Amino acid sequence: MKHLTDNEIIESVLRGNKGDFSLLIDRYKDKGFNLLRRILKNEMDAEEALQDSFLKAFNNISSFRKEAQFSTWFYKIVFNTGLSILASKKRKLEQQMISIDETFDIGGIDLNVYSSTENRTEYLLNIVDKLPIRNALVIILFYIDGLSLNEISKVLDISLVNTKVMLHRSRIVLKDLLIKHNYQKEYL
Amino acid sequence: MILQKDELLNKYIDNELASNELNELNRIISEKPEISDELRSMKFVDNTLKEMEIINAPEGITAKIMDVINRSAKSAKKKVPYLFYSIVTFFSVGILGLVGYGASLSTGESSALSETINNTSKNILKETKIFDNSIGFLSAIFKSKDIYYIGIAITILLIISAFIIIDSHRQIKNKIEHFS
Repeated sequence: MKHLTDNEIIESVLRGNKGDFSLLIDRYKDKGFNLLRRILKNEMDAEEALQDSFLKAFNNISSFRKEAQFSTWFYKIVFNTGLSILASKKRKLEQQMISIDETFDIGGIDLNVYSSTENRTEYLLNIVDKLPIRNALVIILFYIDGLSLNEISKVLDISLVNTKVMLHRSRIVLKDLLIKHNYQKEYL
Repeated sequence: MILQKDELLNKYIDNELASNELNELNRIISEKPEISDELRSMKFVDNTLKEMEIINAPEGITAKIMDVINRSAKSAKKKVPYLFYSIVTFFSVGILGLVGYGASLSTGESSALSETINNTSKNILKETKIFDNSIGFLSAIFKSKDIYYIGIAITILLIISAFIIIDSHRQIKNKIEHFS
């Protein structure tokens, strides 16, 4: 089958071939699910939010500007859907959505993760889940989804400078935690 | 110093160090050898994050989402016609009534219904001539016996329209509850 671009699929859907929207679902379901699982920390909620995100995307597809990237537009829907579900579940959103200017401390959680993991890779990946939501999302969007910092700033609706600060700060926190637990000795 | 060091480490990872910045980083490492541990840790963080595995969405999610979309599209289609049909029905029947009434006046057919309507209109026109003002006209209408038949017909139309509107609201409400 011919590989269609996102814009070609969207044009086809707008022409009335609604079934073609499934091509976009297949293309973005895993990445969307990843983001939502990080935000909601729960697979069932993430699945529900994913359905909701695709439904919103489908209903508003006529408002999508073709000069923009569908991925950025869709991730923004996913991010906002995740946050609304989180807010509706009253899960201490304010605490999770820590200000960019503030430093974050995951002290107590870090020890729990450290005691329950067997190696530095497992430890590091588990710690990413414990970072404040936006910091974790910057990492996911940058490393898994391959988005540029500029695209991430549009998805999260923050400035490019703040996006870069968050990525750098997250890396530094992760690096400091590795050193704190003497994992650096394993490199020798 | 610390901020500068962290900034240099991040730039190193992003491959954005200028030659003078690289020299600065080397100078810091030579002064404080423990910084090389930090650099190695940063590299490890970067490499591990690059190899982070994606968590796949549950099986069959595409079909499930398409099903939700199709159901939503169907309900959206039905939503508009219910209200639209009720309004169109009301006005159509009203217009048909008026057309029928006009036709019966012009042709002078002798069917029971047209005769009744004819008589009513004649009575109204007759009374209208006597009372040559709007109050007199209204009074003439309400004096006529046949006005009750017209009233009954309008009431029935209103009841049917109200039923259709209420029924459409009930169906929309059910759909909203189904989705929430």
